[in-house]
Amino acid sequence: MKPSLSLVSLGLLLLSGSLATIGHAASLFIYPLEQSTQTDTSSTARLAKQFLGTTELQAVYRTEDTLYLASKDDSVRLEHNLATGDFRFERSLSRYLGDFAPKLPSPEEAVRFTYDFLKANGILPRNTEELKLAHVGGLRAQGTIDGKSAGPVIDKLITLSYSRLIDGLPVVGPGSKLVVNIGEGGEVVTLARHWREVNLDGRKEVSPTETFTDDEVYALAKRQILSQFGPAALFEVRGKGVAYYDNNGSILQPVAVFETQVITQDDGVVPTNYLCIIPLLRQSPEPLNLTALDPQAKELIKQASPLTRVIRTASE
Amino acid sequence: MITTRTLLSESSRVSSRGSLLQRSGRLLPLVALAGLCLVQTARAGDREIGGYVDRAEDRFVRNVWNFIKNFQGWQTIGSHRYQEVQYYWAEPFEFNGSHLSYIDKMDLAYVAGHGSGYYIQTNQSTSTGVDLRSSPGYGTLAQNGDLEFLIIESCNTVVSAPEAANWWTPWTSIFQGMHQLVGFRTLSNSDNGIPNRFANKLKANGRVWQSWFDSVNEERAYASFSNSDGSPYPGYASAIMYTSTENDRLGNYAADPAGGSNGMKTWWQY
Repeated sequence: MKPSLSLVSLGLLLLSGSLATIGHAASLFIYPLEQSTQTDTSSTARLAKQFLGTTELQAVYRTEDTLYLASKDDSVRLEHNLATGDFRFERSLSRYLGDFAPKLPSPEEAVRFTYDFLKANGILPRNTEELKLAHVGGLRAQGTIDGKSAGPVIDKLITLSYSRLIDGLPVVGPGSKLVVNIGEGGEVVTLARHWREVNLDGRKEVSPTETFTDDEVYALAKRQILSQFGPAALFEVRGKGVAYYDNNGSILQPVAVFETQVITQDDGVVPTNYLCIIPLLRQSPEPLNLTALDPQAKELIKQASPLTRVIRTASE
Repeated sequence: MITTRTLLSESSRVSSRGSLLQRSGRLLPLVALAGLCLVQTARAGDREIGGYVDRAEDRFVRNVWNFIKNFQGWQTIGSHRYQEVQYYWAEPFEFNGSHLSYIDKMDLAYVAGHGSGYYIQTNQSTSTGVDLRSSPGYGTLAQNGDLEFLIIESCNTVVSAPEAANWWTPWTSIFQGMHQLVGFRTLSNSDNGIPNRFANKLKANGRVWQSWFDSVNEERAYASFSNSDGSPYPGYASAIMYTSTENDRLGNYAADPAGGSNGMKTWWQY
């Protein structure tokens, strides 16, 4: 695709509005997130018992925060973040491999089953108004018949993705979401819950002087896009808005989100969709650093040679 | 998978497997000693991981780094041990003419860059890349190929059934012993938590393709942020494999498939 002048103009035009045009009319807040009570290994055992019906899981791996457990035959799995209380479980997924064609409920039924499951198990968010069904999709598979023709398309699971609304604004980032896979007869096959309650009483209103001005936000967005894609990058802003960001820290903080499409100079690749997130707080109590690059990440990349047969030596 | 070739050359290959920390120079005085120690601790279950970065935006560096940083030093997963041994700017020859020395010398290769159907860019400024439809077969033991798992974090590269009725035929070129290819069938948004999350799920011995799909699902956000092709942030994942390899995990996986389209299978998100 060849860059066009109109595209450049569009990008500049849309980056010259005011914050009000991206939905910043209402007051903004810093919302503290409540501490989860499920942050010890005894709660891991409770989760295993409650959702997987077993006390026999073995720890297979652990990061700084998260414990990963599985049954001996790997048929059930549990991830538990001991810092946030977030968890994910998986059960009976093995039987969905192969040719198994489950009888799936309708998407509407899947939503209802999910709500009932969350409620019955005490994991429905406290304020259900915050829970927003963001996407209804699923998982499909197809094999070949003797490698020559297509086999049937099999609907394996229905996937429901929930995210959070606060004051009518979406919450983005790694936290504040639920992902549920619904299978045969409406069973909950997997569920990932990344959700901590918001302490509404503890929220702190952000004064206009604490946030970047309209012009600064647009300038920061433009700078971020051009720093990522190069000073000659052509881009179009497809959408924009204010959101809250849940970085699995202790707060939700306001950000501006720009949905952009960037034209790169390689005609062989599709135009890039780039989600540009700009923190709105001048002095964030928890800086996001979303585009920070570990210096080692770049320093250690090597240039390969086509003529070098890679023989590992102690100097490599 | 460790082949006869690699077993025979175990001493030389393992002696170089110092982590990136070692290669950064901080531990240079210890390299020789570390090499000796590693030689002594080499196992037949040892596996290699490579990272390859499109020379374009820094986010592709972050994508690959946030995956391979989890494989510095030996990581025991099931009955195998994995370590990053290659970290290169992507070049077409790593996938084509010299693939046996690069991605096909690895057991798992993680690539990040711009893409389009069957294509992965390697250098933006020169419009250079790799068309996987015309790449050599990967994982062919008889020719010393070793690759089991190819992960491509890019837009559109991993064409699946919704994009092509005859989706399997173009993939038979590279599927000559390789077990799984995973990536995106739509536009995708990178520079997020997917690579790190995926690495940890793999280290917990989750299924390879499923760990990728779950990592993508757990990144999905509010529906109003969607890509220009209609796919919701961060895109729809897809994977190509065989019925015999769909249960593969890094800690235990099936024997190498024969290659070709027989038994080929695709999974995709919608």
